[in-house]
Amino acid sequence: MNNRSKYNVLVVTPSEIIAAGVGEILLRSREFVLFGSIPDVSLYSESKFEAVDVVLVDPQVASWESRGELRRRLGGRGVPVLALIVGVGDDSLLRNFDGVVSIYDSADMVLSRLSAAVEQSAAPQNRNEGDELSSRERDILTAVARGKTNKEIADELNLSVHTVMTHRKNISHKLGINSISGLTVYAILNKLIDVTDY
Amino acid sequence: MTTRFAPYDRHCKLADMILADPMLLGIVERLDISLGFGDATVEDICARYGLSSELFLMICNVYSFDTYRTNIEGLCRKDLPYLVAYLRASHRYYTEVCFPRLHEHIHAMVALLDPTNRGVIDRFYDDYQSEVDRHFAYEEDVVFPYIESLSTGGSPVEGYHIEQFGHNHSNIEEKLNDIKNIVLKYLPEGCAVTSRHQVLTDIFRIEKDLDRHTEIENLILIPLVEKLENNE
Repeated sequence: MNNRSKYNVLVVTPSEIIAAGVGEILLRSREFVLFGSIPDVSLYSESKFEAVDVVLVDPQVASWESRGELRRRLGGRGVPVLALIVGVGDDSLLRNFDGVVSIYDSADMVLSRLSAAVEQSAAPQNRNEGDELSSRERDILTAVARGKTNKEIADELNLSVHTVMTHRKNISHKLGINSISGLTVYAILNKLIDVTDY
Repeated sequence: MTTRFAPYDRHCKLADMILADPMLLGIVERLDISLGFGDATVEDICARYGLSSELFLMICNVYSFDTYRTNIEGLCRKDLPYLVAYLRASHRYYTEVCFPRLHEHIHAMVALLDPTNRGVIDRFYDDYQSEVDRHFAYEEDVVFPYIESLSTGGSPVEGYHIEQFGHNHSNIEEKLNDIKNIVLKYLPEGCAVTSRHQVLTDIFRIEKDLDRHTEIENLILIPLVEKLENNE
């Protein structure tokens, strides 16, 4: 296991028992941590759950016709979405998900299915992206190092706050640096900003 | 790499365990167990030093085996003081041994850089150090006294619950990871090469140790305290 911080798991289920059970299993994991649970998909918004890395959703939270949409709705940022099935699942619908977890799976099985989904979603992304920062990313990094907030950066560069946050996530992913002070050090060492701005 | 695949038990010889996993040397060091214990088993050593052998084994197992699952069923109220004493000793080990060594190597590494870059890296590290100190101070001043009062059967501190510990448990590993990547990938030429390697070696060790330290808090301390809280 590398030293990356744990993956945040969001559970979407109306059942408190199931949400608590998933939380209990995740406690035993070194890879995952329960970010939270919401009873219904209508409470989901990308901006609010920016930090979520993987979603477990009980397909029953949606009406039968819109169940196929859940994957698209919840996985907008490329976050893997797994179906959490409580009873007998409809196989044709489950194909829309990045994995399937049954409440009758053993704890080990649940964790290994989550791992598989996370690895699968991370792999192609890493291959396609270069490690060099794009010029937009350099602009944003410079602004972050100058101490600007996401809102200020968004206003300055005419972007949405959400887009700025996505850029920041990509910057940290490429550089392997997450903290603002760490990014500032990088910016100074690479002469993106002058030390007097610091 | 650990060559054993099964968790340790009380009949294992401590020397064999350390030979199989040198990480355990850090545990021996922070518990002030003197080397030269010959073929003493875990049971012998724990009796000699007044440690809970069950807890000692659990800690060693968390260190050595990624897939080890802790089971706190066998632990009870009387184990808590040992656990807190261990965690305190761990903090001392980090603050008195590991971090000063890292600081010294970082200082030597950047000594020949131009003043701007040197200043930036020194300041980043100093800020990190204060953050670590604050994190440990919070545990020492708030969390541990609470647990100690719980373990002596004292009434729980009004309004505090171990659950808050989880929330306050800020991730001091993140910035260490940043320093690692900066040192490995982005430092300008002109650094002292040997010191740079020493810095990285220090960080790899501290990182792994802190990771296990956090596991001990999350997988042993918190569940055990919760168990006792619920029995109140």
